[in-house]
Amino acid sequence: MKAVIKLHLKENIKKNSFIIFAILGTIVSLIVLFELEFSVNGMKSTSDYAIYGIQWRILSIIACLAGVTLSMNVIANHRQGTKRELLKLHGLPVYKQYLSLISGNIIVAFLMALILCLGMFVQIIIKGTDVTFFGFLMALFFYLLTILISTLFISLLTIIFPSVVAALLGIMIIILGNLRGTLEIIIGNKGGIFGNIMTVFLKFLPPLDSFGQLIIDFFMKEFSDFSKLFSSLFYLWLLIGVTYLLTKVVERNEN
Amino acid sequence: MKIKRIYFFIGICLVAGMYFTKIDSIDKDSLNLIERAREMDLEQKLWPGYKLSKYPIDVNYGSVEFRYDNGEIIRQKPTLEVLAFTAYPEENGSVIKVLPKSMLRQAINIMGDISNKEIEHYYIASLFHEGFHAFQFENSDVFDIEKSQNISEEFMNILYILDHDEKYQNLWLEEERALVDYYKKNDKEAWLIAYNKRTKYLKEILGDDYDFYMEMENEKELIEGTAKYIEDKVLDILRGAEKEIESLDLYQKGLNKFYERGRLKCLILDKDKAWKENLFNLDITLTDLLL
Repeated sequence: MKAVIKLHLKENIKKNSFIIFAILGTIVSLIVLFELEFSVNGMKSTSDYAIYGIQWRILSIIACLAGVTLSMNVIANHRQGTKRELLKLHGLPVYKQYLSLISGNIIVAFLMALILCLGMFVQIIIKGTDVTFFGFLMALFFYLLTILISTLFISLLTIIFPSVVAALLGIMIIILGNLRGTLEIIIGNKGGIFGNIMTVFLKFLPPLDSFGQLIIDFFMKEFSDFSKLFSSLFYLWLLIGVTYLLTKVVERNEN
Repeated sequence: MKIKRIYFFIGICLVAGMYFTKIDSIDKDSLNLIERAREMDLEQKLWPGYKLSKYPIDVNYGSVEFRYDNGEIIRQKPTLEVLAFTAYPEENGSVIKVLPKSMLRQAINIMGDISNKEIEHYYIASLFHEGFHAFQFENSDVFDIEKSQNISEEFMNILYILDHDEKYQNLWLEEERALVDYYKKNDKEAWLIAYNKRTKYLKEILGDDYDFYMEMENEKELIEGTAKYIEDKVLDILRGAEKEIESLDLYQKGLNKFYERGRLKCLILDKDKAWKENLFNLDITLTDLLL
């Protein structure tokens, strides 16, 4: 399994894309920093919350979308090539191959996500924000969990659907997942059968907005919502279990 | 096998965590804000006769609701089918219906740029806003407040036409600027000219619907404008600074513009009139009071 992950990383880690991500992340950080400082001064108030809140949110959305582009073709390509049978002959069952590929996707997405944040990290060091090391580490941890949950979801979709469909669904799910709380109230406000059905549907979406809140809560030392913490982590726990079971089911079907 | 054990152990921990943090009363954050709002209510005199603490507050968690009534918390089934911040007339009097703070936060903090403190301010201000509607329910014989909260389709259709009429948008903004000047420089004449220009155009394009539209516009300004006036007053107190009055450069589509315009008229009236007493029983509009 480890060998497959290593091979996957070797094939997917390209220097060029990392440089592009570092530049992209820095541009986002600079735009947010200068634009917001300008408008914040206009309001005669200072707000680290606005500056870092928006950066964390934009960067996690970009990183989630990067996870989609990264994962969309991996399973399909693996199915088409000869590696699948070769690895099977060497005793690695198909479900473990899929799990290795998904793990590889997650590791590459993590690396890209970290590089995206470089601009913000430099900004935190230079600007000297009122943030504790623990708060920063926890924010980083939940930022990576956001990427984990979205990449895992997309990888799951690519196992079931053709890559293009999975990518489109993935993008839609990332957008809806980031607006889940807002949509819950908008739909809940409509009421009726449609509202009730949609409310249930929303529960299946990854709670990306909750993870976003947890990131900024820990970063700004404002965390207090344990209920949200446990329910978000429980969703991730379930998703990992579903991924494992699904790879087993797919293996059985393919055989 | 070891991984599976760890996985299930984590699952058990998470389920236990969810169990111990499950909703069995109003959550600490929301409760704290309700109590802060009630404390503030004792200290401030925002409107003659209006006391937020008079009304029970229902916090709706979707599947379950908790009523806060003078320090007592009662569990009940949600009495409203929808999730909303609103006031609701019941047999024993009006009730304020709200959502927990966490839900409000998740709904409005889409970009993650609003601080916790600011959300708390919005929450408290919303309690006062909806509480004021409850006060209006109980103190108006002239307006059917319940009816006015359910916006008629006919009014929304007219509003849609006006919102997409560029000339009307410009006339509205012109009046907005004139109103701000009225507030800042006491220039009533300029506002009157702008107001008459807009209503003249409205008569031209709406014909027979003009009276209906104006009645609805005035009602919205009175009901929502006064509630917005209370809400912003509370926000000013919480922030320790008054919100600056500025005219908008962009036309606001939808109903929000009536909230803002109504509030602005309240601020102008505040300058030199005792106008609040028994307002909702007088069959008078904010515009009438300004004229």
